[in-house]
Amino acid sequence: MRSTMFAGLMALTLAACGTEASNPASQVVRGVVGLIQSGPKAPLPGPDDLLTRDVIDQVTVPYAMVGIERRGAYASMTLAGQNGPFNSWVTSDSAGVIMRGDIVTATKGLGADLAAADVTGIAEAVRANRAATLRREHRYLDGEGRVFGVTYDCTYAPAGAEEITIIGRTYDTDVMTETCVAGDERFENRYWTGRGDGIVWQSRQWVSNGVGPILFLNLVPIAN
Amino acid sequence: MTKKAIAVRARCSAKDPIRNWLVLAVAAGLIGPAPVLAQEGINKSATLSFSGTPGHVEMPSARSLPDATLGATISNFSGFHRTTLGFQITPRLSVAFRYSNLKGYFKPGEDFFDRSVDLQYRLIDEGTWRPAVAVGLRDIGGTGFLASEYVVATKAFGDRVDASLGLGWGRLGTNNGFRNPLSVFGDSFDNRVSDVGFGGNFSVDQWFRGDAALFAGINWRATDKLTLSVEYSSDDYRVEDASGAIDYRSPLNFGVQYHLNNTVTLGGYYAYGSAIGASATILFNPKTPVSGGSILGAPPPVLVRSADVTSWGAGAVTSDADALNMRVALATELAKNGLILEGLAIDGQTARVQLRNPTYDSETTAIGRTARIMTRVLPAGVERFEIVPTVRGLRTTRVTVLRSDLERLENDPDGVRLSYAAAEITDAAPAFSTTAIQVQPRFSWGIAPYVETTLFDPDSPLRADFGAELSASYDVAPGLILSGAAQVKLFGNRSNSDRAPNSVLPRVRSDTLLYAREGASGIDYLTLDYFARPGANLYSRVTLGYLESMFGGASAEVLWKPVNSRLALGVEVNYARQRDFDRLFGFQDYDVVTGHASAYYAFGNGFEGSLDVGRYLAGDVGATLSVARTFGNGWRVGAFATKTNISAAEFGEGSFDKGLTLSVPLSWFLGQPSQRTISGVIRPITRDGGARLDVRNRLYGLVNEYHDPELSDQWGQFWR
Repeated sequence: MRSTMFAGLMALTLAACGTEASNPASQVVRGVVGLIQSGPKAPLPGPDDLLTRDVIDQVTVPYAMVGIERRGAYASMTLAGQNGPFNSWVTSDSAGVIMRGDIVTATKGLGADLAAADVTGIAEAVRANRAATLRREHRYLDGEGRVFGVTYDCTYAPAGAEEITIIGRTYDTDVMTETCVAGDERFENRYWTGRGDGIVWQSRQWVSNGVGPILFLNLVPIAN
Repeated sequence: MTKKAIAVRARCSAKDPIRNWLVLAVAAGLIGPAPVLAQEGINKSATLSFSGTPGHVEMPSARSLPDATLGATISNFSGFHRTTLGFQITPRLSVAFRYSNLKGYFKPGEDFFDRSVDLQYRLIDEGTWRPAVAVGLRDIGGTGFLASEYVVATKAFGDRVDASLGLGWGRLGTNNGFRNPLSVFGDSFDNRVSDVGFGGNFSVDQWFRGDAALFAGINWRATDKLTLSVEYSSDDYRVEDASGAIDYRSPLNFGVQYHLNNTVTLGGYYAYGSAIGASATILFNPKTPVSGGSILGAPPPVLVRSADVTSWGAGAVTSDADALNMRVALATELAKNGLILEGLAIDGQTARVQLRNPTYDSETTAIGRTARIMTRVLPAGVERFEIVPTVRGLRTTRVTVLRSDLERLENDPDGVRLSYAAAEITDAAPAFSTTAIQVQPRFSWGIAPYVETTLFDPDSPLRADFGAELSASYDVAPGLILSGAAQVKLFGNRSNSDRAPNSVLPRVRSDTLLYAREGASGIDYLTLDYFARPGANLYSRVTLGYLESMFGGASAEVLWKPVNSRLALGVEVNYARQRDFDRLFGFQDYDVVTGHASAYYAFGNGFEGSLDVGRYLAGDVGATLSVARTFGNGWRVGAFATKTNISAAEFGEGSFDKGLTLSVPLSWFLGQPSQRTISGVIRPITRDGGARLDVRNRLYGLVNEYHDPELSDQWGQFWR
């Protein structure tokens, strides 16, 4: 009953018009909402629908693609900024991923974002391709906008070799799994590191209970 | 009888109506199946009774709902309606407001509508062997028809069985009552005098008096979706039985509840050996947005300066042309983020920015984004950023952050805590030099639907008018604002009532019906406001014009509120003259000088209280005490009570003015930033005593969100 009433009130409110809320940020947000809310009816374009290798080959700046697995939504990303070891990637409709090396430390505009993370040593553990245990600390905002933290105990294990294809190019990779546990919560990340070049070409990393895992495709790596 | 209880006013863009439908569709989709209360707690810890409070069928249990849960229950058995709104104020303390018909209480076959308030406090938590224990008061301060008190112990047996045993007084002490065990403290506990008056009296001297009786109940959670209840009731419904409203045959009640999801529960009951009933409950928690949290676009990242400090230069703003270019660049970047630059002054290593935030519901988001944008626009030599957000031309606060701290903490896991510790929050009274300020005259307008309701008229508990409201606002100069709103009623039934006001006081509020009839369409307000900062920690407002729907005149207010103070003090003086019923430009004869001295205090954790002492619209003198709990996402749930120097008899039904306030941010539903809120005041009855002028833009509400403790509470949003 009450939700109907509120929905009714909201319908009324939304039918409103005027000058007051016309701002660019809301348009940006709309784009992101669109990305997130896209229904399951028509399958969304996958990486191969969005880009071809020919296009990627012409890109001379760092370039990547992010996919939200649960929504089946993908978007390409460029580098919006760098701060020390942290790289801020952003999509054209203003969703963002911040990474320390190859490890996601924050997301923006995805809804239940990862606000920040302490991932000290994880990038190194992944590259080492050896069994290890580490700790990972995530920070989230609760429904009132207040910070809370979750500390995960993570174990790292090599999971063999795998040949993967990313938009028309094939990579020989070593796969690492990262299994993290905090109380009842548990997730598994996977990293595909190119043999020989040591570049993490693809990874699947947990964001939050609300977002689930994202897929990160490294199309044009950051040179360093 | 009751004036405007819930008003919905909001605005949004007219440019793209499709967008509104899109957002609405998204929101509706989210509201439908959303697991509003995902915590297992709600299902395990408490099942609401017929009365809308934790319990069995009619009897209470010692359980509490999860902190901050709001619940609404509608039930009906054998013609007894109850509508209950409950709120878990703290983890232990809960309150419930109930509107019910006392069927056949006075006359067979006739309904009497009653409003009542319950409180329950959980004294003892459940242990391995020890039950949870709670004490409760039902119908405090009401008419007293339902008045009862109880102590109840509840213990879980396994995961699925919850059993209670309790001792009740008053109505809950009527079935197989025995001598009050409290009589050991004196014979005065033996007698309970039923004091049924105008309502609104707290008959503390009757609490826990008279006969007591035992009650018991068991809830069995048969499956995750289904709860079965049986209880032994200590309320014998003797008055209703005598009047024939119910055929009381047995103290045993049986109930079944089906939990549709974590939000909605439907129930069926078999009560007192003859009656069947049904109920529906909806539970939600302000802490858990329906939308799962608002979505903002990615913020502009901090632009880190080169490590070579010698390349930074000094201030680097050498000419007026430089300054102008910089102002334009900053304004452009801020506008991309929905923020409006009002002024920029660069002095050596310090840059001071004044801005307005029409976009984000959280002020700290606006401040945090401004700081990051400054790193992208201002010369490397500028190290100190002073950010001054304004509201209606008032410089609310000055947040000073060091650019090097922004560079250092942007991605720090503890960035929220550390950036708050590194920020300085100070008073922003001193004005910018006039050349640095370029506030553009700004005109805005909106058309929005509105709802005006009249609640709790015994003939029809809910009446409403629907229509369109056109509002407009023009900033003539910084702080000088001309604004107005006109309403056009489209349809509704508020004017259908035939209850004539029976007030012996000047009819400052009880002429609602005449306003609804003659002024259903009219001018809601039309004012010229001037906001200023007369000195450090001081804020002022002068308002002239048609102040509210029933009164016009002049209003002046001064507020003292240091940025980091929990305490604020204010004084307001108004000359108000009653407007014509048609709500156009004319006035009636009645006028009054009214005003208050106010103290506001933030207790922390979102709890606030205020005390207003002064003269009210009818010329009566007294005080209003208000308490509210504000949530970080903008939800606000509050209550107020006003007692003035008029007697309960002069006041009439209800004895004194009181009510609930509720404010719900739209962003909570939409999942996108919005400063719009749906707010309302629910009064059990609106009469003329203790009535306050409803002037807009009272200062405390404008500035406190920009001050501590609210600002520190919201700092989590700084990096969003």
